[in-house]
Amino acid sequence: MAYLVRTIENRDEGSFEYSDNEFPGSTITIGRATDQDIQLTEIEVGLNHASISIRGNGRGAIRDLTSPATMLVNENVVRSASLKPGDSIKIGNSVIAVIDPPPGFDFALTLERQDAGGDESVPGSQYLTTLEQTSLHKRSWSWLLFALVLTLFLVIPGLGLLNDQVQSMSRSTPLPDDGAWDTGPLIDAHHIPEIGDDCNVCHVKPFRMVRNQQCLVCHEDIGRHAEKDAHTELDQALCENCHKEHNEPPSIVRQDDALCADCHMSLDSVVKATVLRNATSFGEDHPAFKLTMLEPVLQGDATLDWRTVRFDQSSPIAERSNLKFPHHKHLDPEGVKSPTGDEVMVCSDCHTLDAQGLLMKPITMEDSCRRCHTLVFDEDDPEREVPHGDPDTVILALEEYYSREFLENSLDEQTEQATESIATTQPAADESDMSDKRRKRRKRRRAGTTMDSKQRYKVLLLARDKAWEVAGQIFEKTTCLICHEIARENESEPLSKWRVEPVRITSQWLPKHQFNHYSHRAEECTLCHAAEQSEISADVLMPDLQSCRECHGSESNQLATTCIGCHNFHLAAYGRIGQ
Amino acid sequence: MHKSIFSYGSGRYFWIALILTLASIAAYMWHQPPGPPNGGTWLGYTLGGIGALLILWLMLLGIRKRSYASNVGTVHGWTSAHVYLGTAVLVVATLHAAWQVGWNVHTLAYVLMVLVIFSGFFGIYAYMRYPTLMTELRSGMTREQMFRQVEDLDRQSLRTADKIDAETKALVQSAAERTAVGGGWWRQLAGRDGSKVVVPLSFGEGQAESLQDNTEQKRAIALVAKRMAETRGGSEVVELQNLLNTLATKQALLRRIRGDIRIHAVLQIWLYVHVPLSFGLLAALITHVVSVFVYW
Repeated sequence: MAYLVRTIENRDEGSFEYSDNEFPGSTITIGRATDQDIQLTEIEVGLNHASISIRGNGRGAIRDLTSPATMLVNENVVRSASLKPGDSIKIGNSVIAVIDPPPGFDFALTLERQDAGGDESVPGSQYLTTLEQTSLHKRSWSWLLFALVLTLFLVIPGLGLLNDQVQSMSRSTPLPDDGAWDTGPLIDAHHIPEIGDDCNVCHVKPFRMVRNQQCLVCHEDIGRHAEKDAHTELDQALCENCHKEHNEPPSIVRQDDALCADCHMSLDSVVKATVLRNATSFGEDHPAFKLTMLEPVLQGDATLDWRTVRFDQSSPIAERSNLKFPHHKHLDPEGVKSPTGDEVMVCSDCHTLDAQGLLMKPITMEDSCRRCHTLVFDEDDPEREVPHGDPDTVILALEEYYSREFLENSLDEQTEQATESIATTQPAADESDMSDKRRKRRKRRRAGTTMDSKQRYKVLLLARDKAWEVAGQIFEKTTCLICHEIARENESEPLSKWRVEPVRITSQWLPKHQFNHYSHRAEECTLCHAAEQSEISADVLMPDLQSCRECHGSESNQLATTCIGCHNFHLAAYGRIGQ
Repeated sequence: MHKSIFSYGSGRYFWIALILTLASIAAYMWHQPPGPPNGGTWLGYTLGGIGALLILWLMLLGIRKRSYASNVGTVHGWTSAHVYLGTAVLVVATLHAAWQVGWNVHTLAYVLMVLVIFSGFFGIYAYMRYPTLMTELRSGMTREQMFRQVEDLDRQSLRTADKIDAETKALVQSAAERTAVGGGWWRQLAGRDGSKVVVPLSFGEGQAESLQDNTEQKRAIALVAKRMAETRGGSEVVELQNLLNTLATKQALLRRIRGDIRIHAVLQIWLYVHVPLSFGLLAALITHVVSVFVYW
């Protein structure tokens, strides 16, 4: 057998040199030792590294004789392999390639040595030593993340705005929907089924602020701030200008003074016709309170009607309610006379809060006065009282009372004269019991006697005289006069009627202000209302600006008080916003 | 003279960033908006606008540093400004957000921004700390020189082993061939050594030749030392001693190379967080701006 070894020498760049050597034999030894058929001088190569046994026709088999095997056949580390033309073997840095044998040869190979300084590669280049060579990629990751975030959070929710199907799909699946754009929680009051999680209930059109119509769907009754057309800018304002939703913490009502001061610091220049005075803050720049009071409209001395008047608190003023009421007597620490003896009274005996806890309920005779101020007119009959009402009714009640009284008395006399008395067995001591007395009378009447009309007329006249006498007593001396202003239409005429001037007590002194009595309940009433020193009902017991400022809105104390704290912005009196 | 990015232009950008930061804080404290502080007040829009423009400009550094022909400032100056103004964005954007967070795209943008900035901080830390370490480690050599020296040592140890016996040579050769340096990003960062060695049969390690762990070349060194202990006198001991010295020198050199690779990896790795996240941030920022005006 014969084989051919073609050695390729790498001369210069791109030029090669071949040298062919022919050998006889059927085995080729490869190694570093001098006795080897193919000698490789590199130190990595074993002295007797490998051997090829030739099978002829260009084929053979190779075996690595070293341990461990380091030989590569077709890039794989193997201990042995069969060879055919086209295979390549690497031992050390030399590459042996099996080629088709030329005529006359059973086997042929080329040998390319790469050991003799031919290794041009950079030392260490077989290793991955920088991050660029690894699986990390800045650029592709960057664009991937960019596309991912944009798709998930802008494109998909955005498509939902254009297409209802996409929207309902994204809202019903884990895909992100426009909820991802939510900038903060809604206030509790807006957590209602009508809104739910649907942004488009309020945000109807993209890139446009929420319009008032959306708010007015529910808030239809909300009042204007001023009369329509008083201020154009106000008429065109959006609810959203002041009421910002999605705040954190949730809040929607502006509390700051700037909201009001913006216009009210010089309201006269914004709204020329205004009667309101300028103000910027309660603590520093607020006009004196202007009180609203009911005042009688008189004709002569008589009160015909009532009207409200507003006046500065600084000007001297007296309330003319036509009621006589000395606060100091009722609040006497020693007590005040009552049917059950002396009683020490407190403010809340008469003044109680209304249902909202804001104002006091109106004072009425029935609720507040009558328990002590009874309307008894006959000390012998303390159960009977005149009605509290107009004088005609009082006189009528008295006439009826005495007519009956007199008629029954005269009947008693006649009965006693005409018949043997169906005498009562009741002792005289029981006469004081009125109900028994009446029962007795009824019993007697059943005995059946009559009076002629003359007698009856006489008795009635007597009764009327008595009634008017008693009326004069209670109107002018004992009962009515204590609290009321009483006048007589014609002093000289005996049956001239009395006139009780109507009473109206002002209950809302500061109608543009929302005072909350309930939140002030920890304080004594007299801290603000000087009732203990007030001797007449003409005294106006409203606290002034200064006494409020002792606690509110000045620098020396803690209770910052904003405009909204006392005043309402939306005032129903000016009509509804939507109209 | 080299000047650090911190002191560029007498710390010009430090002062600009400081003034921006303090002005933002002062405005935030002075501003009494109706309702809670918010990105939707005039100050909120102002801070948000400044923050967004700064983020866009900060991202331009990636373009500027590739534009070698550009003369819009120096890359050095740009980097200095990038560091200081990038830090200022953290304050500006936090005040714009007014500490409000939620499960929404706005907080996503904020969180991405914070991650980008803090990965940047790590980068600054790495650039302050590691170049000195790297210089110490390399002791004047380049990476290439170190690798060339490894190759020389490998050849030298093979020549020495060749004089001893075939098994020792096979051991040394296998240890050289299967020495692992670097590798995937985690191996580079951790400086992990995945070297192996095929231990020939005669070293008495089991019934057949076996592939064993050769971290820090310890196994090969131990086996050579063992063979030396078993050898009595003669030139072979001297050769074994020489071999041991060579292997130990290589061991120390490999340690330095791995340290060098690790430092390079650390100097680079934060950018693999910083850059992709900043692109995520850009997308989230666009989404944030568009979405707040869609639902105005």
